[in-house]
Amino acid sequence: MQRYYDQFENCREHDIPYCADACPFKIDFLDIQEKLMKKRYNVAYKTIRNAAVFPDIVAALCPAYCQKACIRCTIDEPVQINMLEKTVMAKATRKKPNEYNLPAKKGKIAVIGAGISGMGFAFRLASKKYEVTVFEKSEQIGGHLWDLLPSEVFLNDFELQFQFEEYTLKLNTEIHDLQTLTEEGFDVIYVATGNGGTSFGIDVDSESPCQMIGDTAVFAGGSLCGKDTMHALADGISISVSAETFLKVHRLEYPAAEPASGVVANRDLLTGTPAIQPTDDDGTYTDEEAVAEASRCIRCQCDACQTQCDLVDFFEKWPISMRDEILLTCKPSKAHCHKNPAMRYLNTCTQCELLSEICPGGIDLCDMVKSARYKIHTLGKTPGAFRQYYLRDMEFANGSLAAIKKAAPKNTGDGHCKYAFFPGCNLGALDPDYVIRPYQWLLSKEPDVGMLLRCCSIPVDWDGNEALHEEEIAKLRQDWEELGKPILIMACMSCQKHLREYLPEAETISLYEVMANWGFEAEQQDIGEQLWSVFDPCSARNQEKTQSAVRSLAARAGIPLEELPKGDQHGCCGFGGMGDIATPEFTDYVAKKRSELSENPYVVYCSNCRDIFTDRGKPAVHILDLLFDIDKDGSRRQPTVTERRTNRIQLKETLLQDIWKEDMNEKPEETRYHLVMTPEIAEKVNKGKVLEQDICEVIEHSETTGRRTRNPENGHYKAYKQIGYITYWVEYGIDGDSYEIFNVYTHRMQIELEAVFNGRKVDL
Amino acid sequence: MEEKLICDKCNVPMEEIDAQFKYLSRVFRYKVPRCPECGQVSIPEELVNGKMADVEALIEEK
Repeated sequence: MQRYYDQFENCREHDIPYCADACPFKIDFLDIQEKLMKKRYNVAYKTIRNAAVFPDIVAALCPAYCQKACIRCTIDEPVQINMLEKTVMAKATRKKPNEYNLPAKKGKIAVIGAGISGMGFAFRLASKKYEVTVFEKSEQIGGHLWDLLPSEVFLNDFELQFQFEEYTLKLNTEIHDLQTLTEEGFDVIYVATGNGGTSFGIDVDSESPCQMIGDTAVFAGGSLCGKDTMHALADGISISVSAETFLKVHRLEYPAAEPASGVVANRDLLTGTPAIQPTDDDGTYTDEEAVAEASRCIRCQCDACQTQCDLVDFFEKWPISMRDEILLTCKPSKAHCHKNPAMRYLNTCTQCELLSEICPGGIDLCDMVKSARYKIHTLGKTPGAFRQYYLRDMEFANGSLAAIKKAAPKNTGDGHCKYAFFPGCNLGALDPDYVIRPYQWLLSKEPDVGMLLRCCSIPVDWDGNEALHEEEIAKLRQDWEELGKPILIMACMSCQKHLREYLPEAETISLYEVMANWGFEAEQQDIGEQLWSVFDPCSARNQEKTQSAVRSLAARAGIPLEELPKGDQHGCCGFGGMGDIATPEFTDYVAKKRSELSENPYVVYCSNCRDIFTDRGKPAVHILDLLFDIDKDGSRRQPTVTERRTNRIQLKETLLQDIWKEDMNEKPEETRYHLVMTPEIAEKVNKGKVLEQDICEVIEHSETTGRRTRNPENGHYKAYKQIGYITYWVEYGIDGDSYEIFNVYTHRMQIELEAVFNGRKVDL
Repeated sequence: MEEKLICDKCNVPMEEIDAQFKYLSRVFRYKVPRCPECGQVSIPEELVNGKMADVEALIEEK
């Protein structure tokens, strides 16, 4: 986990926007923008003053480095920050600084030069109540500002800001050497003698022009060091911090250049909007104009994770806090601190891996979540109920009633084949035709295609069950080897991605590439003018060959396609990671977001995407629906969880009979009870992922043990049975041979010691 | 208890009696309808979807 922890050093969540990064004073324009939107000019003024000391001088002279850095420059005009700043200066009515009654501090400061840099330095330390003396060789303060501005602008600002601060100003006093000042007991000297001024032997070209003379710290800065006016003032301000550090801890440090901000703005927010031109004669904005111009700011901040990752977005967590919560959750349950704050979202993540692809800081949060799932499973902390349904489903798909491993029917040799069709376990559960029809077509093109029908084992990977996953992969590898290591033709992109990672020795190719390459001739679909969008599953992100094959097949069928706004750069449909039991609202949220990527109906090529969209009313068909005329208008009723099993059995039976002319030896258990339920109850049962087999087990338990309650008013029985991690309750009535089901509900909590009651042990 | 249930085995009305529950290694007791004779437990759906679901969610993150 440490490996992941270190990556978070690169997180850019707190990196400042481009404008603030370019600003000599690092003025927080995001803060000013908020205040402008509320027309709070006085507080906006304070923000600027706190950063730049002399706001009127800065507003008048700043060449707006921020605007040159503004991301809007790439599409139209920068946000007119300088004009907004001038508007703040014009509209602010309370410019008087606060007066603080602070005790005087020990420390004598000398400033040589009363230019803008020296005055900025002097102000900061005078406001901290150090004893400050400014030496100026001429008869006036302001230095080169006299050449740049009307004198009243800067003199008024100096007077305004210094009105509550005390400092000694010695005009017409030229300092010839620093020795005299050190002898006078000054602790710090700031040399700000301006462009071409005396440097007193300090190397002004060095990176840190400062040195000790005896016990006195001497700093040089401002125009003397080649800075322009704004950076000269910024120097004075930042060196004042170094001076105070020296006074407090006696450490000589020149302000270090700050590393460049790594902010990455969300360019999706950029839409062309021209800058607002001020209509007032004085060249400043009206209130409305200021709000309109401030609104052009897209508030650059690195929020790629929040905008792109569904998990970060839904749980409203920044990755750094997720990191800490995940580490805590991965502690052993007997550890001193054993809270599991990340348990819910760790088990909810769709594992679509989009975030790791787009994070500008290269933080692999997706892999961290996956590792954490394995870790918490090893520690025995994963709630078993979260994925019980899917693990039982996998067991069924790999069981004798559903799985097939057979060489091609015409194979007369050693059972080895060149290719094997690997449809995955969900396609046939949805509709057996999704497997039968493509397989027949494959055989018509290439007789040496075997069949490997089973689960790829992704549910155990998503569950983080390392031991079982290794076991399942070993079985899969054995099946593949027994078929002669064929090239696997994959119909499910998640299976393909999974095998690429865990069975890399097996060559795989998508069914859609094979169909495109082997000359599939699609029937033209009569679907009118309707535009469709291909929804690439997250598991096929960046899989260009498969993606173009699907588009080519759709085009052959005459389906007019329109790409989604960001192509394949989107997260999962909601199914991935099997997190719907841990957080069903999250699955709905993600599915809704993906459904709204386009108003067009979707063509999908993942059966899970098909399920997710169809279940929620988003028109979507599988590409196989269109190519093999299976359910091309998407009107088929979704099979229930029980029907998914019977579909799998039927698929195996049909394939054995039609392709291999064999009878299926394995027969499903006869249904012991004839269940009757209303459509409402059937829907509830299905939504709760309860199999009819589970209901039968509860009834069986009830009927054989007699452990049930009876409602005398309606004669209904109620009984329960714990199956795995889940307790199933069934309310039923008996009508001849039929069992009418009135209610079914489940919980995860175990009922304990029911058999021990009143000191007696009861037979259950 | 809204439903007036009867233990089908003992033919006596259920009463509110403590029962023991366990979830993710945490054990606790709560009053639920039980048969006073044989101890059979019956948990109403309202309890399952209400307090029980809340406690399950709480424990999962604890």
